[in-house]
Amino acid sequence: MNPRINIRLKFTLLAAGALFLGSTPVFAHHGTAAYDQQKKVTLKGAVASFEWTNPHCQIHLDVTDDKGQVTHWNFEAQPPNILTHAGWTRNTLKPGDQITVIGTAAKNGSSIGIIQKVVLADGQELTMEEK
Amino acid sequence: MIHGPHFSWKRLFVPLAALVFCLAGQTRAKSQSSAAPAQDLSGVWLGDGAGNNRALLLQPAMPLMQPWLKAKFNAQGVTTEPDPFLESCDPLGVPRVLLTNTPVKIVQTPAESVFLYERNHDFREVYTDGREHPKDLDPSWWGHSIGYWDGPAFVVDTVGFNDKTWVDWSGLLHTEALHVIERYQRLDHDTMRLDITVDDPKTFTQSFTAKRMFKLKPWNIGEDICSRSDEQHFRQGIVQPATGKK
Repeated sequence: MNPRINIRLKFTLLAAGALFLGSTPVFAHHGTAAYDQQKKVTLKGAVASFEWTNPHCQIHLDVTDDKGQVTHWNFEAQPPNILTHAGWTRNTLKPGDQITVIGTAAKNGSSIGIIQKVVLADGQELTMEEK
Repeated sequence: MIHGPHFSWKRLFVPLAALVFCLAGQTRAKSQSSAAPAQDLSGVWLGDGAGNNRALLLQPAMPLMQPWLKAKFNAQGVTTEPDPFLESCDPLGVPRVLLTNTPVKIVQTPAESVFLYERNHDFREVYTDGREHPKDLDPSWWGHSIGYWDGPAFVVDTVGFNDKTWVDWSGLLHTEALHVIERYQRLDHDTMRLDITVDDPKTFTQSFTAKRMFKLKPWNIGEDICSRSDEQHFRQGIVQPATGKK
């Protein structure tokens, strides 16, 4: 054994790298600095498209307000390999599906967010966490 | 205790004895099925923790850094260096690849063990045929690895790295003098402990070790590939509108 090997330190999470939504940690390997942890959003809308791709899946959501104005949101999700183990497939969401997205919005006020979970029209909840 | 007029402990003896016997059998069977196979790490393993934003050292790690490395971090302890993986899709190297939130598949053969990483679909060959590290190694992304069994633990010794990778996800740099020792040990059938030792006297004032636990998963290895086209698409759709950065 190398004589220099004399310190034992455990892993820790970088405080800047950990984003907590409620009790559920959300991680993105590109970082979460762009998102305002206090800016939680719950948005109901129609799926415009669902991109099943690396480095992160993307859910494009059209949200219609009370005045009939449509806002196009784009949400970052986990990559396909992790979503697969969380129970998702590339066919989980189809254009036109009515879903509710719970997540965190970007600091700069743009219609960009990072997803914590999705609630389907039948009430089924899908998270980003591997089972 | 209040019992009815017809209560009898004798009547309960046979079913109680059968119940105890069954429970004991189940416990024994469970402990047998969870025993770790001898000197066998084969399978797909996932490290603990919810993400791969892991730092190898407790923060602040400044006391262990040589001055040149300290200068690479700002007052908040955040690296000022661009991430070679995120910016250029460079290989993660060792030990950073050991800290990802994606699984590794270990394949053992008589002459070598192969580590197949889902992250970026990279692999490492760890030679177990008794060879030594070659002298005058050309620096490389993954270095040169040799392995051997130390009782129940599989030890991987790696040298010969280039200096282009990060030691961990917090931005710890290193030199070509980096020497990494991994020690894998199955604690039971589904649990594996990894102890990582990092030594680079040109970068750190002392060597250090860290621990991570892994769980066996009934999974295949997926494609989590860092491609420039995928990265560009992600930046255009998410990063640029959210940050203004191009």
